[in-house]
Amino acid sequence: MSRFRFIFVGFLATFATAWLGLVIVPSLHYGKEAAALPEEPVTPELALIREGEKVYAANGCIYCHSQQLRSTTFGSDVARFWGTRRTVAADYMGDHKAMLGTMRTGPDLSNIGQRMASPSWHYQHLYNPVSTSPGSIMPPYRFLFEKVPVVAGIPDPDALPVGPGGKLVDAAGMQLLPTQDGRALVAYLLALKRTAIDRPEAVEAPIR
Amino acid sequence: MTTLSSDPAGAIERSREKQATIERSREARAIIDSTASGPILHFFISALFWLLAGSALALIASIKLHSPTFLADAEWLNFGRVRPAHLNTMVYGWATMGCIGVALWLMSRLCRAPLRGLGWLHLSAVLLNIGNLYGTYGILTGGSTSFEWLEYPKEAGLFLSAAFIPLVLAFIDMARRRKPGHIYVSQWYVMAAIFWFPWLYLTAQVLLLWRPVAAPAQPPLNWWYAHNALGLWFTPVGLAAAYYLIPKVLGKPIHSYYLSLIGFWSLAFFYAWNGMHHLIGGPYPAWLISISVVASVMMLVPVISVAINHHFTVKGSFAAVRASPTLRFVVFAAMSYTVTSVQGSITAFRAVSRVTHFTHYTVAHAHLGMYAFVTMMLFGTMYYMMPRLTGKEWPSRWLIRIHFWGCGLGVLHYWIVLSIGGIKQGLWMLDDSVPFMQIVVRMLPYLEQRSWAGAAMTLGHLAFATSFVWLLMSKPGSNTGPTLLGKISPGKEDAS
Repeated sequence: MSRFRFIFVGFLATFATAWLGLVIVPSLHYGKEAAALPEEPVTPELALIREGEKVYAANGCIYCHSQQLRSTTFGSDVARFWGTRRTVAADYMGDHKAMLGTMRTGPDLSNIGQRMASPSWHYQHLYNPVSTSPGSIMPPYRFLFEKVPVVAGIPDPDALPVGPGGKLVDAAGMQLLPTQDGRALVAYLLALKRTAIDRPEAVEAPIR
Repeated sequence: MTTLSSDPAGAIERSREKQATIERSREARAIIDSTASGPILHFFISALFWLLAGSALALIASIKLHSPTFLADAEWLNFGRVRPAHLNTMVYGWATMGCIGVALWLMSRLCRAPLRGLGWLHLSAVLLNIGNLYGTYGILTGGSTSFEWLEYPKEAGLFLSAAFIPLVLAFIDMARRRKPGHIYVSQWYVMAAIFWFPWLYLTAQVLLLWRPVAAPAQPPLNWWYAHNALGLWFTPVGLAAAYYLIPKVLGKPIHSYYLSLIGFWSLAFFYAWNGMHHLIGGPYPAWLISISVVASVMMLVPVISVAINHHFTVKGSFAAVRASPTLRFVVFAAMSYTVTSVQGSITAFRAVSRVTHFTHYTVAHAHLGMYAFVTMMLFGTMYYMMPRLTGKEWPSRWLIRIHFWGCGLGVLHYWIVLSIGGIKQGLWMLDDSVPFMQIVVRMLPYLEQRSWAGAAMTLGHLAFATSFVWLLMSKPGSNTGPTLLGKISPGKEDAS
């Protein structure tokens, strides 16, 4: 038994050192930085964006889209106009979840709010991706939309075309509108402007 | 028979004693196996259920990637939900429950301590099944956490964590009751794994889901967890099985005891520092990522020591590897471990990762580890264990062959196609003159091939499930002698 005890100390020591170095130290470091930030007032807009972050997570957008930009010496992210600079840790401070992603089946979304600022483009694209992006293999998110009766004959500004010639109201007097989840998701996407502010730590050293 | 009038050297006496010892240990093994069979079958049957569920989810996810209109209107079968549901059912349903069954049995046999508290172990299996069911339902209905490898809604983690309490106690109990003598390397691996995994899992659950750390600290924690769930849970159990079964089936000792010690301690020391290389190019300080790059490269030490040890043990017995279903799978898995680990060390270099990060190459690599190594090792071990737990032999050679070739060729095809496709995808992405949409279109043939590979693997799983159920249903004694796939030299009574 005494030998198992000795071996056990080895299990503990090897694991605990890495646990301290890779989990506890970074968590404390970024936790301190986050605590130093001023609290953001939760406006209705911010509440909707936060809700959209949850919709983004629940539907697994991260499995095809990253939200991180690599430096100009490390890939073509900036050359593809996905952002003006690389992203740094501070760019994620305001998030509840940092969804950096590990796959680019689709393009990076760090700045999709700047690159595609039109809500109607996003609604159209989510409802039927190939209608705005021919060749896309993104699944259609038709469950983020619902048919709603038109009130007083005036279609909602977010209504999607339902008939030929971009008609917004179908024969039954219904319009196609995003659900609450759909609106929240688009609010979140439009708020993604990670490189909108300059940060000194993102400046890259000139190549020697 | 010649009758000897005298036995001056005591040779006959000694050989009789030796025979009696062999007889006694065979009986002891039979008692250990029959005691363990209830809970272990509970874990294995559950694991098999999750394997089939995970395969179905995998096929749906794979087909959706090249045919996005497939099942497009089923909200709960959306790609972004099916993919994590596949991963989590495979990790916590199939592989975790399979590994628990294997680890319990290895520990019980090597400590020569029959399992106790069987009811508690059944409870553990029930908790794992509830956790997996709740978690999968949660992901499919829109509750995914989007932390890779931890997508189950946090409440599922309570069940999974609770399931480990009786398990940890059972392992401590076996360690305390072990018969005096040498501690074999497989015992080190399973004891370490059963101690490391709950620590790993609880850390990730608490700091990502219950009391989340600041957002920038989440990805490092996430990747430390995901990489080490493979490295410090599935890998040690898989290696423990290989270290036990290869010598056992071949009837010869492991090549080098000292090499197995070096392999164990270097794995313990270096693996836990891995994970940050998943963030290469990401928004983190260089020191954090470099630690894991170095640790990844240092993983060559345990990997090469294990590879040398296994190679020299198997050397000269390749006919047995062909004939024994157990060894076929186990040796395939052990070789995959070497390949996937060396590939991992190479991929951790920044220059390589620059190309392969964000591509299907990583997906291929992950399947080489979790499938070609861990899953194939579990299959091989189950081929050995099932006849001993139930007293019944495998009913059909052909089903075993379909299983082996379906899964073996399937995963190789998967790995080769997606690795080549992934490297091309990476090179195209680095070249900003190639429009992004063109890359999407150029990847389609590779994604289609992935579905075919997945179909072959699923065929293998169905063959295995049929075999498994058939074995359970068959009457004891209806098939005498081990089910072998070729001739095996006599005297290897433990071959199967």
